[in-house]
Amino acid sequence: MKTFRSIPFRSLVAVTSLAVTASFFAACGSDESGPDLVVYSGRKEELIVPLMERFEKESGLDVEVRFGPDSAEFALQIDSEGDRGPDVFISQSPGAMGFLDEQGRLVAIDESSIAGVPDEYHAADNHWVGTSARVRVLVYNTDNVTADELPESVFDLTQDAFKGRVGVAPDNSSFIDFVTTLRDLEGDDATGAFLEGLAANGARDYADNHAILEAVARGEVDFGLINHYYNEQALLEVPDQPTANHLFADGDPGSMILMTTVGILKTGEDHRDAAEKLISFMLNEESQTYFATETLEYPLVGGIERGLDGLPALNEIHAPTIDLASLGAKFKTTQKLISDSGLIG
Amino acid sequence: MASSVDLELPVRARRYWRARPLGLSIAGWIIGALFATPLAYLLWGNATRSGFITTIREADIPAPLFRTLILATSTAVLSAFLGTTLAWLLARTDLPGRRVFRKIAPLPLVFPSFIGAFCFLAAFTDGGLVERYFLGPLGVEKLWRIEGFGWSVVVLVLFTYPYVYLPALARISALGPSLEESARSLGRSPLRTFTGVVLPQISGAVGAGTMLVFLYCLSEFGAVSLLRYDTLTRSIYLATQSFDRQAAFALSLVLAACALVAIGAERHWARRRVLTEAVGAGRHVIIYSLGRMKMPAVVGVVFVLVLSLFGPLSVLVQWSVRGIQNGSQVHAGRIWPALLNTARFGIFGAVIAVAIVLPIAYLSVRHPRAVVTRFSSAMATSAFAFPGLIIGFAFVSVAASSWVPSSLYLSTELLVVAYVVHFGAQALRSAEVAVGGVPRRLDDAGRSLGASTLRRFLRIDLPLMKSGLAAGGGLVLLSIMKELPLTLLLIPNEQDTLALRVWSAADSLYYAQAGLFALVLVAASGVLTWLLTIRPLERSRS
Amino acid sequence: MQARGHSTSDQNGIVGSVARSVVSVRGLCKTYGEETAVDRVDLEVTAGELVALLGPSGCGKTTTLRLIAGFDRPDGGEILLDGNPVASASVFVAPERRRVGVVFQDYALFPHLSVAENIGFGVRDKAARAERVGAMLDLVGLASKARRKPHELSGGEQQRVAIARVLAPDPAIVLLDEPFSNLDAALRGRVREEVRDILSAAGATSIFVTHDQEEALSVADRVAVMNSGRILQCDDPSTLYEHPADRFVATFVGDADLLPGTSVGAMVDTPLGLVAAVSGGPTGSVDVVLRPEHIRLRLDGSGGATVMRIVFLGHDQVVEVRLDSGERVRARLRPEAMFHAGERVSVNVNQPVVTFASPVSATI
Repeated sequence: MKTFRSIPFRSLVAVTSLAVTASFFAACGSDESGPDLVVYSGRKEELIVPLMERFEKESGLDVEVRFGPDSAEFALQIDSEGDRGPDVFISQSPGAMGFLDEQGRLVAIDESSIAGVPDEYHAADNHWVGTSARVRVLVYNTDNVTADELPESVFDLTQDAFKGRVGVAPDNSSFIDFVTTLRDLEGDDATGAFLEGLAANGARDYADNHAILEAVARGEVDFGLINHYYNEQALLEVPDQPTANHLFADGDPGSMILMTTVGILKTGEDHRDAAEKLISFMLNEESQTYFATETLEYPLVGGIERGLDGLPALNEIHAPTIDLASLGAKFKTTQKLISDSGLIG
Repeated sequence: MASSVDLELPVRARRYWRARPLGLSIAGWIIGALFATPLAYLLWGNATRSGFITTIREADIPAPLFRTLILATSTAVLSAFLGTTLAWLLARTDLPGRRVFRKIAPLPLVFPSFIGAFCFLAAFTDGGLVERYFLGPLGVEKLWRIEGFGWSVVVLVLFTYPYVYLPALARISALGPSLEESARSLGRSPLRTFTGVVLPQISGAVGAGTMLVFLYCLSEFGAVSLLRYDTLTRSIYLATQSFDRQAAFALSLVLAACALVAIGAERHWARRRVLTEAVGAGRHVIIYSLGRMKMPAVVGVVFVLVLSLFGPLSVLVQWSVRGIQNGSQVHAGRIWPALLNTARFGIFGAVIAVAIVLPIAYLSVRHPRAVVTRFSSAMATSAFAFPGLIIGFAFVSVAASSWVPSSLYLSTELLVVAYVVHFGAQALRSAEVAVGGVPRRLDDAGRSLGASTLRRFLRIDLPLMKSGLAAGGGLVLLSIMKELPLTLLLIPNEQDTLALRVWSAADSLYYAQAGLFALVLVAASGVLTWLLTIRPLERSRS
Repeated sequence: MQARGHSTSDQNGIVGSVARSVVSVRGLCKTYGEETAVDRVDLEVTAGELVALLGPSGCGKTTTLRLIAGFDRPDGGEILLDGNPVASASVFVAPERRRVGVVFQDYALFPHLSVAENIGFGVRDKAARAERVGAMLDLVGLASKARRKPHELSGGEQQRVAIARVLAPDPAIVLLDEPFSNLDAALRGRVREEVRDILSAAGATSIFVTHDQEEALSVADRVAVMNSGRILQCDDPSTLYEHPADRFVATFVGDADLLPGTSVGAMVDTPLGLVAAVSGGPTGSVDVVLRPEHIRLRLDGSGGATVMRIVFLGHDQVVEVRLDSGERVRARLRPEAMFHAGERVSVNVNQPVVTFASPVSATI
């Protein structure tokens, strides 16, 4: 403090502003040549950057990755950008890719780039391909819940045993995906009745998966409907946190699979080769292993094991996957069902 | 969109045209048009696609709008009360430790609301940090679950009261002692002196701060979403999640309309008072003795600061320490570039914002009734009420158009301009006060000495306005440093800021990383607040 | 008029007895850190009196005023208002309960209130407020400007509003802090008269602080001269002038030059020769106080002094001469007397002079 005070304030300000001005212009005058590939990633930087660095090294290509808002907002941005959009879009939620497809902004990926991916994990017209998968689970507090209390089906959560004990995130895209899939499987009436049952049973309302997990860890609620990797990632940093994942019974919609996807945009025609290279890279064994071990997700290309214990392999779950086609249009109705159920507030 | 704005100019403005410098008027129109970008874009976007009315009708607006207005009003009123009370306690009483408290009381402003609210929850909610480490051992088992209207107000007040506290403190400090001493000797108690004499004198400053809190709450999403209070911003969020841009824009226009009405009311009320404010000079500072209230007052101030500052900070520290102990990866090397970006966006944005609102400030102080004044200041203030996300979309759409050079899209320049448009309002009121503080006769004196307009501005006005402008710039700086949605949409590719890193890491559950970056952000903001707003205030006191 | 009626009836009760003391200050002390601002000050002010506190800046006069008003707490001594202690070791009455009115140097009018609202601010009794405000407006002659805001008034008018505001609640005493220093010279003399008339019309007891000796002498009934925190002398203006209690008072109140001398019976031997001294002065080595208006000059080639400088003031002129012994002496003469620099003159004193024992260390 003393030494700081002894520096004249004016010169401090002068030096700082000089440094900042210099850095401002340094950053403005970036290279003119432009990158070989521009990628917008709706998935978080922490998960994607290591993969992209590896791709740049292997391919020798210069890739520019933009990490923006959530996938839905990113899709809207790409739509607003018109001709100035990116080459490739990586989406965390299925709906955002569906929206762009609906807007006619995607081109078909070359068959050779997605060889080895099971049919249910890519679009019939090859406009997008899944890169990894998350599973919807019921996270529970291990201090407050015994193994025999764990439900078989997500529909059990409307029973008295779960009164006031379940947390949901009704505004969150993965919950909306889940409800949308439920509508496909069970129809709007049954879905609406289920949501109303949850609300009547005192299910508590949270902002997102993260907030639910925190609430379960604190014991505010005993159960929460979230994606599987939240708990696994948290346990890496906080090993003594009293939370665990529970998978609903085989084929139950409560444990449906959500894919992260990648697609090539029409604005990426100039960089088509690089884009195809990136997609086949993301689907190769090394990358799929990365998804399994580092981002704690499920690989989609056969034969790769997950690094972690606890949950069964993807092909053993037999859970329904979401139908991406014209998903965006369905969201309105899904949101209305959720709003009308009384889950919020 | 700029042209539709300029069309208003000729007929109604002509009456005032000759009365003021042409350059100032032109600058006012151009700057007003810049601030009108988001509004104009939304209007254009809604007018050219399907009907705005239909969208509004379908969107189920009344209930969330009512909740938004109730929230914003309650928060603004309570923030005004808390900020003014704190300012008075710390400027005018013998509260022990007031020198230290004065320096840290503005700091809650440095928390981005999504971090602040998250940390507040983690610290104080049922099963949170405080219950586990402090109250648990004392036998307290159940705290409340923090959610809903009441808690949203509490949390927002705790993080927004500095908007009122800072100008109120500056104003009280500038108030000479004789008014208060007169009232005392005429038989008024300290409390009634405060309400009858001090309050009318600081009401302009308090009103301006309260208006900022109100506008802030209109567009707030991070905190109310975590606290599950269903406002219009949630409707906007849901609209974007279902890719319904039309509805999102229509809802934002409703917010903007609320903002414009509120601004109009405040302007009307403030203008009548502007003339009657005294700038007393006094040799001594009045210090009231709190007497028996001393301990309760200290406890109250500490309580506020624990809730708004130390609680959230301790959560960040806990995240960092716990994560690092458990071997979580922390990319410390990324702190520096993110910090540098945060600082340069913030500083450039703040400087440009101050420079760009100055002509508006001159207009509204010296030509308050002119059309150009009303237009430019209303546009500048309303842009603050739009959610950052919507301003971002407006700039994405405008800048991605084919007539804009492609090098401008997603450039630092565009980002800084967007920041300026979004946050310029925060600098405007301080700038008006600063301009109002320069006596016109100094200008006359300078003119009679043969100084040119530029020279008079640089040598007379600017030095006199320095600390006032710095205070306004400081608010803009802080807001830019913690801004998220706008940054996400417009930051150049492969660049990032501290707020962005915190958000991204927290969302990926990399707690250690999130905590550490948040601490750096809070520390950097704290240092800059101290340099830009607290320090000049302390200096003006001595 | 209510104010007058009320206070005269108060005074009637004590007519014939010893004049009632409205303010009693005894042994008042106040220090700020190392610095002693007020040092054992005693002061009595009786009903209806107008007392000036006169001294150079930093002498403690404003601090004394603030202590009486209750804005600061004394470190020692006591203050009684109307016989009741308001500040002592065991008592401290808040300013709002002292019935003390203060007129500030900057007037401190509430800018958000009109003239009438300012004046009515201190009147507790709502029913009587309008009438009281009207009476005060009449008293200060501002009835036509009742609804103006303070910034719409001239400096002199603002001052009258400030005084009316203070008088409206019928205070025990009115304190005025440098009341005329914000007015320009042309206005000052007239305003002084006005203020004096208003105060005496209201029968108010008042203390005012000033650094201007002419102001103190011309307005006050009594003047208390302060220096370095102490009251050196408190007397009516002519006593103060004719019989200063010490060297500081002598030089601060009115113009004076000091000459060394030696007391010889009723006379003093000075460089001007033998001069008659006021009786009762010290003996031995003394300082002689010479008032310029008591000095007479005569053109005299064999005189003991040379004219150095002439300052023409219109109604009179001050001629400064240097004695052959080296001292300088000023003489105040009628404007028509004609002297020129360099002329030799003789110097005479036409009144008995005041003497003080010369300080031991101050020998020339």
